[in-house]
Amino acid sequence: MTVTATIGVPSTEAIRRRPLTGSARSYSKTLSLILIAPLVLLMGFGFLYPVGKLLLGSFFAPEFGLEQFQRLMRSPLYLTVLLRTFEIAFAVTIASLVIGYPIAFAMAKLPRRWAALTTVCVLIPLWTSTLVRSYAWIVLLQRKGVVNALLLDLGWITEPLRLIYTEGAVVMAMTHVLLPYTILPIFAAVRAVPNELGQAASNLGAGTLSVFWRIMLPLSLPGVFAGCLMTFILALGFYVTPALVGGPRTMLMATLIGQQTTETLDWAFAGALSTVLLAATLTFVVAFRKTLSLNRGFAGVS
Amino acid sequence: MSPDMDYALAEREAAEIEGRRPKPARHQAMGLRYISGVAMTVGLAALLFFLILPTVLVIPMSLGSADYLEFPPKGITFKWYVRYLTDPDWIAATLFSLKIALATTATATIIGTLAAIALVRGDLPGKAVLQAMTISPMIVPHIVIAVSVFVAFAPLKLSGNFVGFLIAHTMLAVPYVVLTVTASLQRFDTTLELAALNCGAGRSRAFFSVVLPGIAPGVSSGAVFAFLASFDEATVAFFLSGIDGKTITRKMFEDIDFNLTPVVAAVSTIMVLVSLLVMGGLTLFQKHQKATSWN
Amino acid sequence: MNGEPIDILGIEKQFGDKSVVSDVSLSVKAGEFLSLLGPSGSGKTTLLMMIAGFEFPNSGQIRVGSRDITYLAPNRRAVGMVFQKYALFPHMTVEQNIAFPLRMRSLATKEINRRVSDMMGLVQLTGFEGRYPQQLSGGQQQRVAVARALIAEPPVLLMDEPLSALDKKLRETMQTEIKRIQNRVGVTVVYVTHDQEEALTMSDRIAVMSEGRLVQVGSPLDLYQRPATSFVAEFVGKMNFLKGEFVGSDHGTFRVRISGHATLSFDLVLNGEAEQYRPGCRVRVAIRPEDIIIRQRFEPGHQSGIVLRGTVEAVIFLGQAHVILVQIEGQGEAPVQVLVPSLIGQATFARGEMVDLMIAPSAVRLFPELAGSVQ
Repeated sequence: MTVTATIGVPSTEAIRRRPLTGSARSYSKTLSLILIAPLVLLMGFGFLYPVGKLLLGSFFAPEFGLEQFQRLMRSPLYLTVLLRTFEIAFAVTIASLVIGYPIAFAMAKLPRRWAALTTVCVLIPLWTSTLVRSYAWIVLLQRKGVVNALLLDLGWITEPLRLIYTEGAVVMAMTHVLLPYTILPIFAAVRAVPNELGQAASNLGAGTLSVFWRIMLPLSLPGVFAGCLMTFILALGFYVTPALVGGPRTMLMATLIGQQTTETLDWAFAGALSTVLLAATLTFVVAFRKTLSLNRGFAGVS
Repeated sequence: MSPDMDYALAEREAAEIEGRRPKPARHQAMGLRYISGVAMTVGLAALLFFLILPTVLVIPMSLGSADYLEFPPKGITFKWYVRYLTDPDWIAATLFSLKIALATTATATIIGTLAAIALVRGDLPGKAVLQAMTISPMIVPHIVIAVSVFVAFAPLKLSGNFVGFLIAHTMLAVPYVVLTVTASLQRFDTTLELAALNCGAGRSRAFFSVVLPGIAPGVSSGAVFAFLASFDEATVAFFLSGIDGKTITRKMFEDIDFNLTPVVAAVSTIMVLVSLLVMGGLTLFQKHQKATSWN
Repeated sequence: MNGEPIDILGIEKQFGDKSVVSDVSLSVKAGEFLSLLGPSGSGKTTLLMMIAGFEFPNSGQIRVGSRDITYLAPNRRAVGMVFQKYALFPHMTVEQNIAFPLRMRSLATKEINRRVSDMMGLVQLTGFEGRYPQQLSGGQQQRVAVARALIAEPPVLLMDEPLSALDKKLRETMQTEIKRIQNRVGVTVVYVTHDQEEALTMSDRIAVMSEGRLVQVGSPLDLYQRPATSFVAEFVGKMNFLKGEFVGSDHGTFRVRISGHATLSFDLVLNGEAEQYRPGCRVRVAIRPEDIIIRQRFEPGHQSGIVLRGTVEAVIFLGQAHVILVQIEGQGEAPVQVLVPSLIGQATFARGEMVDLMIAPSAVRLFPELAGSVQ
């Protein structure tokens, strides 16, 4: 523990060079701020400013107050739309879960080749435009559409059924469009359950059904919650599909906001409706933020 | 899905229980398993059919010769593709969308990658708030964003114009880049960067020669997601488009409502193929990379 | 290439409120092989990281030769480093990895090629130039890491537990290999390890660290024979601790009674402050397993130490030796370990057998009872 005599006071050069962080592992505060600055500017001008302006605007028309919101509350029409939005989002979530769970399970647990085939069937819709897929539902469901043509050919009906512009059509098309968002988190959760657990349970005397019921299902619940929450949130504010497949009789919050913006040009009221929709969405996000995992769906598969 | 898989499964399971049970019981169990296996296969096939059919349906519909969407399509023709390619409105919308999507890919990838680096490796106050802000365009309903952007950008002469779209689409695409690059950065072994510094590389050379190649899979995924997030985007595009600056999705929206010829089906087919080529290409490329040198 | 001395003066490092390195001063001579030895969390890696420039101390100074490098950026230090898991660049070939430091220094391609090929010869990797790191075995990756760290001819080489990922056999080969390379190039080495055996084998000197402090610095023989604290005694090599009581001192001779047994007189240096040893206070009597002599029975009168009677609890065969665990009366549960060379034809001991252990005063070191420790 000897000290060489040459060591004296630290040189001024060394003091001047003393870095701001205590470690070379992380970047300095200045550099970090420079790196994040473009994003902050972009989000500030492209997101926070417009959304803030719209939401705040709804409180200042015609003057400061809740005028626009009272309008919303007074009219049974708007309340019906709000209620219907929740109903449809809920129905879509349930339908996505019922259809999505077996698919996610197949993706995770089938032998390799079949799992790959299932995965391709899930990824292709995820990768394609929601507009194209909504359009496909028009092609399927319209008066002279594929479904009616098939049913007529088979002789099951004599007159084309009225399929499009119904709540059922909206639910079905939205379920199809949002299904990958339900499937992927469930898939990630099921895949994470080690096969040995099932084998151990079988070894302890559990049958196939009770292995599923007591082992797989409980352990995949976090994925189920994450998938359902994501689907529900997206369904609440979805525009493209209801705008195309739902008619005026199945107006939802999103389509109502669109109509107020482009047709009635009542931006203050559109702002009030947006505030309500956003508040509803954020309530669910905040209440269940622990279950929400955004990157699972995108980073998890490829 | 063919039954031979279930047969093989049933056989294997039968082999497992062999010896534990008397023969007749075994045959019975096998029969039951076989039937439930077939039922499950059929059920799964039906679900997959529901998933995949509406996506690929537009392809045959775009080839029909009738002037309206006809099922089943009679005769095969490419005239709707020719109609699309010779219609200046469609071409203008396509080029406008491509221009926006390519520019968005560049800006979102750069901005998102820089931000992800700062968020993962940087010394930043209020990281949680910044992360929440970055992700929020994925949570806030797109209709709210679309109407907000339209109402705010219109007075600034940014609606129906390239710059306005670039800002709005970059904002929508950037979360995907941040998420994929963040995931890669978290997997990236930081001692590699320390090793580069130790070898005499400065911060920026260490980044470009070691860190960037390491996170390249995340950056390229992010770029592809960003491209599709812009090219396929319909809600903001619907409100922000103008007479001159109109995206392909807005043009489709209009034509679905007013014009039911198979041209829209042809355009849809092209969009499906673009998405599948881009995403499939990315997946294959990354598989190939994994298989050769990396990781 | 010649090594340069390293001088570390009063280094302090805190992470938040937690102090990980406190007041460490240490000088490493030019060309010396010095190990930083300690358990995980002892601050040895952090100290190495500060020499490499990946962490910066809160106070103190680090010099290499005559240069103050305390706050110098890591890429300007000319200090080579071998990382724990090698940190080879996975997208570069062996050749590109080794050439990387030279490219960063913008050398001419011809010069780079010449030096890389020399270095490949030195680390015996000629023929592997075009391979990628993940196509190499652990030992080969290790050689690439050493080559990359040395190619720019740094005066100092830092190694952070470089052999911990290898299996035992390969580890021994690589120990010799690293020493051979160091002797060839004459670089000063600071080697972090938690493996005391490795430190004893490879080092010129060892610096033992515990809880952020430097406990003892000395040659391997020094540490083994004259541990300064009971921590060093326990950490370096195997050590038995017998419970005892300080009886008194008489003209440089100290007397200790081993609990349940006779009194032992010492003629040696005490560890710790002399005032710590008051008559009646508890002490720990340390003795190495190989320094205890074991017999079925010692003839009374022919002893050069004291004899403890005990029962054989277990006999463990190690190959070149046996370890015999003996339970001693009045010493609690922990058995005493005795090392006996395995000689052909020599009878060993059986479980349950009563034996005598002889302890010579010259082989014993005395430590104060650890503060706050229970029995």
